[in-house]
Amino acid sequence: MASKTTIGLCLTLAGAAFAAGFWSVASDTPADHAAGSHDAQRAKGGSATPVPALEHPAEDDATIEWTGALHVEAPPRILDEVRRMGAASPGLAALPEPDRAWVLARASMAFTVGQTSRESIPQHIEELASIRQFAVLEREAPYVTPEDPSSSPEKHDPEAH
Amino acid sequence: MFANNALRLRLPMIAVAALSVAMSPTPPTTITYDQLSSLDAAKKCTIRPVAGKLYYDAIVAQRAQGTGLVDVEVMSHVATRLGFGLSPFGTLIPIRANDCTTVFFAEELARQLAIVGTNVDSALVSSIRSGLLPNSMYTRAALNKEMTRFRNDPAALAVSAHSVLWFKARQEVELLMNLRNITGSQVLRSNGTIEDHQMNLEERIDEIWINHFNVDGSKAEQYHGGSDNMIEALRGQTGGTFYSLLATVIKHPAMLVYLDNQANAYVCTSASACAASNQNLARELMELHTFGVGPQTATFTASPYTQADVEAMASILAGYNVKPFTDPTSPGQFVYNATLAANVSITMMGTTYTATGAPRLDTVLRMLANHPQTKANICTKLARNLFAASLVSAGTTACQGAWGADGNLDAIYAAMLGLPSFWSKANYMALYRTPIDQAMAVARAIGVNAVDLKREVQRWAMTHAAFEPTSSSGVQWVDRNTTLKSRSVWWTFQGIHNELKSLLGVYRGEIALPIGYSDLATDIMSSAYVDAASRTAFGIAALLDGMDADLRVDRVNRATKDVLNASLTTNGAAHTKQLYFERPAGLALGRVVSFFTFSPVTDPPYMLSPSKQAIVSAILASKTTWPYFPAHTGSESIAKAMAILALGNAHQMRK
Repeated sequence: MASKTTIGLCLTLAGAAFAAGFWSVASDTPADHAAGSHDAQRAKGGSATPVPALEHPAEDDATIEWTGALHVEAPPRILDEVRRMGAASPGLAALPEPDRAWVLARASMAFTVGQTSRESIPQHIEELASIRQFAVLEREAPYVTPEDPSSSPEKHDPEAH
Repeated sequence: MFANNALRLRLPMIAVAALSVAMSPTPPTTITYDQLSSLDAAKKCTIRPVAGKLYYDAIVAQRAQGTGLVDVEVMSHVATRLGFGLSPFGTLIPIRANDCTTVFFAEELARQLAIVGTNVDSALVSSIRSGLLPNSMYTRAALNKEMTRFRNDPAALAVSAHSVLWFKARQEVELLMNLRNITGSQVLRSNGTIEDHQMNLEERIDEIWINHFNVDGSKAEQYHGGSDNMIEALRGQTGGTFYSLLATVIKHPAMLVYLDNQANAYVCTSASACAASNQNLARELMELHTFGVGPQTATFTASPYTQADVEAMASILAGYNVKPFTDPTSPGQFVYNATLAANVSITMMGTTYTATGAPRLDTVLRMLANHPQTKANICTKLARNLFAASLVSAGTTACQGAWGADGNLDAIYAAMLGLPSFWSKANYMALYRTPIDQAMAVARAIGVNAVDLKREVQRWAMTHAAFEPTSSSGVQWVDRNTTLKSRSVWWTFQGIHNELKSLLGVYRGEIALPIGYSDLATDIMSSAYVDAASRTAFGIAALLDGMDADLRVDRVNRATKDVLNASLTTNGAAHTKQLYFERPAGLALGRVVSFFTFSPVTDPPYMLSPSKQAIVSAILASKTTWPYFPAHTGSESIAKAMAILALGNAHQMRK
């Protein structure tokens, strides 16, 4: 998705003069221009040689399960101790059930490998829950392109005033 | 609760309004508008430069070598290179150029350098903004709270009020950039006339930095970050140091979200296998924002860093995060999540940075800001925006010499603009306007001005108070914005924005590439682009007709209407173009040509290129049946003809 949008933008910039006519301009569609920056940066540089569009893990797509930089085969196990601590977390309580598991599993992993101390687990859960809220919002209440006819000045009728 | 929220929303505006009075364009303390014709017998100004002596002396020094700019060229140079093109209002217009106007601009340059980074709008811009762009007045946190309220209201959710609010707030900041570019240098004098200082240094400098640290405002995830807010934060740092600017932008929620650092955490899958989960921000920070080159490869070994350094940078950036906009206390604001950070020592570019928590990033950013490669990259970028290609090297050297501790931006700007070569013929009209330059310059040349816009805002009694989100339900708020969009002045201003889009390819705030747009307009130059630029002039002239013609105050256009109309009828378009737009003794309403080298005027027939002649002929042929406003055949048509005559040539596309 991101690659296609980015390439489209490159073409648009390269041939700006060929863009939509100056009287009739395409409608505002903010979401259409959204582009993953890690793909975008590969398309820059002005090279005449086309850069093949690579399919990358959608790290910037918050709706996709995040497995971290170092992928593991099986989902990490949730420790009972971490689950108990999570029961007192307001941030975790605000998340839907699948996302709670996502948080608790990563907190368990962090504790298991020694990345997080026992005392820091509650804070770690809160902070994981905070960044997970981005994914929840994107999934459950996505941005809706507002119907905005503002780019059609030819529709304006001055006589109406 | 609403009362408290409303107060919180209003407070920044009150502060801005109070400051804006003090920051309105005023003449430099040493020379007034009325002194601009105070010349002695030798045509030398009786007022001498004080604060701007460095720049005046540089102009004179370059002239002494026989390669300097005459006074009218100095005026054009500051208007196009340090502003957004000449505007026909006031006493600082080409036909009145003399040594006093050059003194004025030298003094004005010193005055404007002192206010770069203050980010305070003039009184005119503030009043127009309040009525025309009311949603740009609110803080990101306030907007996020209202979006959450709208989202929780089923009726508001049904009309996507939260999305509309997000979109409008962002869009209006883009329009605010246009407003500042076009009218930021204008002031209304007590006698009712507009005085345009032509130079608009703060907006010119800020545009360079906004492009350098480009953020795609339309990225859906910007729900959380608010690119609109980042522009304002950036504008407050462009007069400080490069380090302070870099640190402000990199840690801003909009940048963190745009380059996905809200999903970056330092993750361990075993005690010895840890890494940052997202490298986007780290990569662009090094490759674009500071060093300007990619990491070392087998064939590119000159880079100061490696892929491993990118990964280390990503680890250092882990934990720098953003609170979701549903957060009850500080939605969408920056937060440092300590347990998601790399709480271990990280070695990057040969230096080990111990785990000091959030301050570690500042230490690393300071190192990046002062690295020789960063100095070279940033100085080259600035020089490329200010100097002709043959002079970029000298500009870069001056910048690097003034860098000091952390990159003192004020000193850097002053050093570059104080170079005599900045004021040389080799640097005059030597760059091509970017699409943004072009659209803004066209609007200014045609006569878009702050007084017309303010009068329209007042005519419709448009004030920000009616649009305050806290004062209404989501449905009511959407209705009010629909009303706003029914005003002709809003359409005019949005139309200019759309004209810019037709040149740039996207709206100026929706450039998805982290590199921004090319600041070398030659990258997109083509015959089709030249044609599109001409049409931009045509389109904006037509848009002006959308505002009530009786209320327009661009007297320059109106006063010359009959003269031009007669000339067009009698002599034809080609001769009129030459006589009134290029000849020194004419109106010089279009670009300022180099009078120093201007060849003798040739009497008719003066031939335009066939393509330009065809455009002009088409305009004139259709002036009585112009499709926008069939009932208008007077100044509106002539305005269109003037636009195309003045701007429909390649020279006009230079700066």
